Amino acid sequence: MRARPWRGTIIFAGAAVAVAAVTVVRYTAPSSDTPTSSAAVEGTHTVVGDAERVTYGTVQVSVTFTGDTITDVTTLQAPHAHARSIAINARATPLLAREAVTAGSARIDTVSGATYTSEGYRRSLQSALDQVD
Amino acid sequence: MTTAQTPALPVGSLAVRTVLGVGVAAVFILWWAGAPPVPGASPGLAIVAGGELAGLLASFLVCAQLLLVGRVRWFERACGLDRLVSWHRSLGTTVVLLVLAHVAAMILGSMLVDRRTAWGEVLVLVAGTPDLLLAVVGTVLFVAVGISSARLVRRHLSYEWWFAIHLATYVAIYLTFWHQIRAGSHLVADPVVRSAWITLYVATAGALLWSRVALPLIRHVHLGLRVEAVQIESPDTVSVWLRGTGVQHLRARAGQFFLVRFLTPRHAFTAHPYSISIVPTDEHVRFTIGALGDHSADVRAIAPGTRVLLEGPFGRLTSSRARGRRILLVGGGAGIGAVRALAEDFVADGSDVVVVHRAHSPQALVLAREFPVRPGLRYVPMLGRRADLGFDPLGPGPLAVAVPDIASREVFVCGPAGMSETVVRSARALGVERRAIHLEELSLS
Repeated sequence: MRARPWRGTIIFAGAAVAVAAVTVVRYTAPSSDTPTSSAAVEGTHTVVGDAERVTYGTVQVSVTFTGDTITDVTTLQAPHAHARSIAINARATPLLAREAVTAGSARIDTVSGATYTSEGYRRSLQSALDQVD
Repeated sequence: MTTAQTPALPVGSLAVRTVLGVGVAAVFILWWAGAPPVPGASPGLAIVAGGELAGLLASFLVCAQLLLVGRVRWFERACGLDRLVSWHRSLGTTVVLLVLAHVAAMILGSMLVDRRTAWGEVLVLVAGTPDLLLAVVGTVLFVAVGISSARLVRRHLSYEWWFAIHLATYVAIYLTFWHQIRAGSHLVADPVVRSAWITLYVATAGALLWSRVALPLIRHVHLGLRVEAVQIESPDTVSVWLRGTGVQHLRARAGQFFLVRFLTPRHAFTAHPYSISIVPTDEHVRFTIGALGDHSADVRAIAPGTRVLLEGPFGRLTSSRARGRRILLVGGGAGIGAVRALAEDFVADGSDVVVVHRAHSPQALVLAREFPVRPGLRYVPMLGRRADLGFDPLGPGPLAVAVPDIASREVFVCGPAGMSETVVRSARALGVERRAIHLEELSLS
């Protein structure tokens, strides 16, 4: 059995190239994905949370309930002073919304790269839930 | 490792490759589906997303790594443990580099996004990401394991130290697991993906516990293997006789090896690969062990009656590999044990066998008396140090003198890696076909 001293490094190099290529393709191709919008549905009601100040701006959400269950969270405001904030939050807020629907509470995890938005999101979400209790 | 040298079961090997390839493809797909970029996404976000992909790949490959060397039957049967270990070594490098790339990309991407310095960003990430601190500790362990396995370092580490450091991998995997499922945006966002990921880890852990803990214990209860005697063969080689009931149920063949674990406080935590050196009988099995590490040297002090756990048998270097009845067996170091067992097997089935035994001195010709002069068996000791002789006794010239009809024989080689390479080169030079040369490396490190 011949030793293959550089095989692991070569595989890594190949993987790194593949990762970079796939990422570039993914991030330069026009995106057809659109964030889910909340339409008013019968039997549901919506509560607006407080506007929470965070480092780069303000976060405010509205929560849609069907009965007592959180069925949707819409982001009303998110930091938008910089292009990068818009980009971050456009990615982070759908994730946070899904987390909130899954958790059924404001106990949701921070999305990496969007620490402040996540924190403001939690607080605004909690304030909306507090109004219902 | 070339296909020509280990030609058996390419189909099984292909199956293992396919499983790995499908897994890697699945990781790319779930990443693609799970991270829709936003219009106007910045380079920083793209770098973060690339870093996440690198992390997911590393995480998947970590599970593959464990399964490759977890003595999981199906993998082992398909490829042979030596080939699995070779892949494990290579992929180990890949995993450590992917982990480092993941860390670098996450920090760099977030720096660009948040416009912070590297250290500031590290602090923010650690403070704001669930379980990231644990993952940092785990990453340090991963890197330590990687360094301890690097060629340069490994040369200066004993098997026992290397093995102990390698055990830290389990801790590292545990520590890094939590930040994946609690903070990894793909796993947090999609309950299906998250469940699949947890299943991957739980299934891996289950396979390992079953094949590495449960099976050996169950077998021990059935066989009750204990050390019967330890026989000193030479200053640096010992034979260990084990006795148990129903040893034939192990279905071990000459040329195969077991991972042997002596249940004493000193040895219980390491299992070593040792070849059987006789064709197993109803009650006895024997291993011949060279003084390769601290443990091997300590084996001579093991008391009769010590309980023994066996994993295996492993290895595909058996007499069924031969496609002819004219055989050359070349053994060196502790490899002579496997040659001894193979010779017994081949002679019993009527083959014409030549045994070349390479050793530095006559004292090191262990088991020599077990190759009696008899029809169908010729024993050729090849003695001397290369430095004293001024040539390699296993070079093409001397080998042709010792075994003039080598080109018509199937060649089996058991011994240190350097010796094996020499024999392969010489045999090829003397006209032996690649596929008539059989060898298997007996090392897990």
